[in-house]
Amino acid sequence: MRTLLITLMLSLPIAVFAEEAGMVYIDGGDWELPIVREDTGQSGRVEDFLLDVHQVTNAAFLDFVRANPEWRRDQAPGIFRDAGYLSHWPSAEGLGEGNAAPDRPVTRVSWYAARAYCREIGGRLPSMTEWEYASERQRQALEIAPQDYASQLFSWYANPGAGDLRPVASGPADGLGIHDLHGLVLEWVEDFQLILGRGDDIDLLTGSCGDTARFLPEFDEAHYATFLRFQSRSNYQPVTTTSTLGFRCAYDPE
Amino acid sequence: MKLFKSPTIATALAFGLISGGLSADDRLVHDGEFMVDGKIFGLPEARVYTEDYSGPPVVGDYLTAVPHLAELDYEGNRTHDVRMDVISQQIEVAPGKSYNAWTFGGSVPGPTLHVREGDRVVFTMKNRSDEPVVITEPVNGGSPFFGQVQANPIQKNQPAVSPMPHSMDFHSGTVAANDKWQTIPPGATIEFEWVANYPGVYMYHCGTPSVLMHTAQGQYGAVVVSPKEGFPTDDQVDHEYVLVQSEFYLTEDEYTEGYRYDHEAAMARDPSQVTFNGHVNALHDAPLRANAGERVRLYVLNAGPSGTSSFHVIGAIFDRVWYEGNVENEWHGMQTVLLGASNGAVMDFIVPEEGSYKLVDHEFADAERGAAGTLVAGPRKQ
Amino acid sequence: MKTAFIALATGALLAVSAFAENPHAGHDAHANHTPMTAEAITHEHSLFHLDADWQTQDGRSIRLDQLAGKPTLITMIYGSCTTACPVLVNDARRIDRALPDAIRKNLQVVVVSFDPARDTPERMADYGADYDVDAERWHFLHGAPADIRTLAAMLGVRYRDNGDGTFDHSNLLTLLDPEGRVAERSEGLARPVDPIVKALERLHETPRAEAVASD
Repeated sequence: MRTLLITLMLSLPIAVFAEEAGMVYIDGGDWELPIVREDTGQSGRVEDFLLDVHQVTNAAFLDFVRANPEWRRDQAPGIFRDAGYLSHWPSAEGLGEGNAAPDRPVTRVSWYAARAYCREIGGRLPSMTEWEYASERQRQALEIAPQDYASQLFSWYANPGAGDLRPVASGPADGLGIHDLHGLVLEWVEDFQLILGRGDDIDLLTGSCGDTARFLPEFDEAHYATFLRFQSRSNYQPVTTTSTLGFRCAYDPE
Repeated sequence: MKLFKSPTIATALAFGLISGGLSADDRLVHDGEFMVDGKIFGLPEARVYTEDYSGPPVVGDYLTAVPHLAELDYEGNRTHDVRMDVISQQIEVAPGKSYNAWTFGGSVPGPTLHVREGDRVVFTMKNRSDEPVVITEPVNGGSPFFGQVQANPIQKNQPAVSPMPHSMDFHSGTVAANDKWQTIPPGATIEFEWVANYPGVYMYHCGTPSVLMHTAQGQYGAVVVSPKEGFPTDDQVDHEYVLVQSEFYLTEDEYTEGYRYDHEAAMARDPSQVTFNGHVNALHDAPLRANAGERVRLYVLNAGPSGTSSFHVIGAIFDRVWYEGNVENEWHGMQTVLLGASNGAVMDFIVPEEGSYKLVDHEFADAERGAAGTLVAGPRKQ
Repeated sequence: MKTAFIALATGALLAVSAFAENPHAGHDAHANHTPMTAEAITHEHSLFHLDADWQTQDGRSIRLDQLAGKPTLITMIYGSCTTACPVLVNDARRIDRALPDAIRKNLQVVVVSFDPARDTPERMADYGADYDVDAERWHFLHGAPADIRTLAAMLGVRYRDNGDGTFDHSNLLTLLDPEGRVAERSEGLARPVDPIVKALERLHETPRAEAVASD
């Protein structure tokens, strides 16, 4: 369906069509991650891409599971998901109340499952760089002060509200028109495990005690709050499923 | 190769049943282990796996809630099968001030583990931060820890859900940290071994970055490794208590009711509370007890995460102090013992007379933030 | 013993000469790609669940589950890598050559490229030819980027594209049993061949009937 929409998009103003299709067109640019990953300090290039306006819902993921029974929780091979996969749903093909309601973000999905979903609809997971780029562009567009951004994130880390998630896109879509990048659930990205690789002796896979300073360009709260997101993401395993981890898909422009 | 060279727990457990009189070679359990100066190194690699476990989050007979310390009721050395799961828990640290803590076992500080120099610990930890775990209802099996928390639920422990990657770092273990202390995601379990090579009062904590946040959130506790031959005053000690000092950095949360970690304050070392045993009233509501003329022994750990403790008992002098809890480091007649973050000590004092004795961090800015407690002394027993 | 020593020495020589040819060597430590520690593997499931088509060096299409029935040694490299990768492929060859004939004839070796843009099947054919190995049993594979990442995740191999034609990656050899499950891993370069050779001997001795089908 979305593949079709992307193809059709060529004949219409891109931004308008993307929005109707539930995606936002994000202009690329030169950009550097908000953590210090390289000694060289070269900036990276982000190409234009499209991103889902909101996170994938239980309802949408249920459609996917129905069409692809090999991703039912009772059929998905163990190599692709841990024991908690979709365990909050009342049944393998049934939604329910609260976090299992159709309009809530789907959680307890592994990286493998998230990728399979995006591939099925003609997309892919955003790269870590794309996701972080969108996050920063959104902050700029909304003129969120670093202190407010940090407070919101630290609040979410301590009290993620995982027992009672809001529906996706509860508020108005302002800024870039993207909902819930922060404050609802964290999102899978394609290369989630790639951070903190800074060489032979110092790369302990995920960083260790006291490693924070090497990766922060500034010691303010906002950079710490961002770093914790990188840190948490890189500590997941591809089979990990939790109540605070969902995803949205990205697409290449035609 | 993490998966297939799993430590043979059965062997280790069987070994634990044999107590005392072991030759050096018998103490080496796994291939690759070796001894230097009677200390065991080269332990097997940690095993990370998933398990279907929803039992007690703390398992082991020698795990207690502060200020209790388990009695070592066995001779010689043994192997301890110890579990401390990571769970999120709403914790009160001062009247009306609660926050969602990240914990080992559900309290802050976590359970105190007591072992003997030379003992082996087979440690299991599941990251259950994604699961509401109740510790204030009766628990089948598990550890004495639960009964003690339930008898004095000063932190008003309530289950919470706050999924995060976590790890466990025992200062009492001598191992490769990148293996044994590795971080595991929610839902995963890690199992590793360590041998209590050196006696002491040790800290354990989560070492996952930002380590400041993880420790300030409540992930720490004490391990007491008693010396093989004991301390010289062991047979004169009437009461033993464990004290863990730590700072909290809390601010009102703008988005939810209650309090949350304040990173700016933590970086500025400006705590909102400094406590003994995790609550400003822990040692006031339930004061330590002794009688005039008795010898009281304190096992004191300063968990930090960033502050020092100048530990003092008003009206008493420490008769003996074993710094870091090592019998070789004996001091006499100490008024105050300075403990940096993660330093510990064993302190004996004689209760002078009936009355009330305040225990304080003599850095008064910390005492004013809550680092104080009381020992109530009854009359001399005849 | 002597054979093992010669094999080790060959690996070391290869490493040294490869290093000398690296145009970046000595300029900037970062220009040399750095090894990334491999992830722990916490599963005992078959990698044959991977639903992906790969191209061999002779242009044939192959799926991992077609490797079922025999043990497979698998590693991931990229063709323009002049430092670690030649040592890694040579390590696989050292293992292959250390095996008794009866075991060797059943071993399949799979070398997967991180770099599908440059490592076309033609280029992988040239690459494989340099190693003078049995092309019937050795498969140098080209695949889609998403499938490469999936396979890497299943193996616990970490890698990233540095954008300049180099990749940082884990140096890992993984032995899969005939059902596609991880039977042994060897991390690092020029490691002793023994652990994987011994694991292959064990697999050889295990009657197939006893092997449990994995889920």
